[in-house]
Amino acid sequence: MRLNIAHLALPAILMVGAVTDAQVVEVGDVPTYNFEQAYNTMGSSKASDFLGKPILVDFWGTR
Amino acid sequence: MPAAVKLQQEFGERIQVILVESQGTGYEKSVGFALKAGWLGNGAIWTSQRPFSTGSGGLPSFALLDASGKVILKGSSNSMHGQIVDEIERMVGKPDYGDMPKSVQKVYKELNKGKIASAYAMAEKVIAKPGSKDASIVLAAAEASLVAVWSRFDSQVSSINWLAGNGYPIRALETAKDLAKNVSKRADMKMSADTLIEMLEGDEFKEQMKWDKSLTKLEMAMYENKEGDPRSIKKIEELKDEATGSPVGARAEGLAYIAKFAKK
Repeated sequence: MRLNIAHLALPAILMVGAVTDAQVVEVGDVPTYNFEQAYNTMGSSKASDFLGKPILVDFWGTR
Repeated sequence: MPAAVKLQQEFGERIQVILVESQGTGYEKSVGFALKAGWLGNGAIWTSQRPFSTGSGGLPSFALLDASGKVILKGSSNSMHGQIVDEIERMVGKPDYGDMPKSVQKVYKELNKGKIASAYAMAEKVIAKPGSKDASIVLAAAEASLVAVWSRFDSQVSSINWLAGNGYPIRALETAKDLAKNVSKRADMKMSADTLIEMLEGDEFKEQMKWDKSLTKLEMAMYENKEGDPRSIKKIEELKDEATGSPVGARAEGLAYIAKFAKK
């Protein structure tokens, strides 16, 4: 059994490839996505990692 | 606090909330902003990368996806909050299996309880005896459920490895022990889970377990106190130096890095 010792520089921040952010989704679509930078992923950063539970993606602003 | 964060707190691990800062503030500053406001530490994921667009011009806006990853609702987070809550309650209360054969629904119900070995045995049973009515449909659904069972197992093993390799050995060990219980009736799966337990209980992780315990307390203190709690941050920086070169040390470094942006 090998340990996956990845992402050691910033442990809670996962770095993976990203898809385009311009994809407009409609009800009924099954979007594919992943994050280059995300906080508190605990190893889950792409659409397939979240299968099995409802996902609420909330777009917000700091200003 | 954003309503979405409250939903993560309320529903816990039954849902996943992903907050996407969408005004160009940037990753570090937006996470620092959330830390300063006391919004972290509840399971929500924070990013500044838009995974997709809802097509909505205003903020806050949202997309709600079901357990299969399908968008079931989207729009304004404020005006549609009641609908979001209703849909989440419906989904976590009673999953919609559509026209899936009842014998296969039972496999998924067992799997959703975390009982992997039991779900595996049920799927095998349906495959061996799919029944005379719509046998080919039942068989195909049962075979797909078996793939889902293996996928859930693989996902749990990956998650344990990620936790162990990224500075969370205590949580990794707890998850591995749960997994071992849930696969105890399947020798091959049990062996994998036991190997993970043995690794995490080994000498290599002894010191990391101690650091993880301290760091988790400091991390929660940092989240619970607005402004990031300077005293906890100082101790996190000290722990980073003590645990340097280890996954827990790297985790502490990541926390200390984000904390800097809560001060600005």
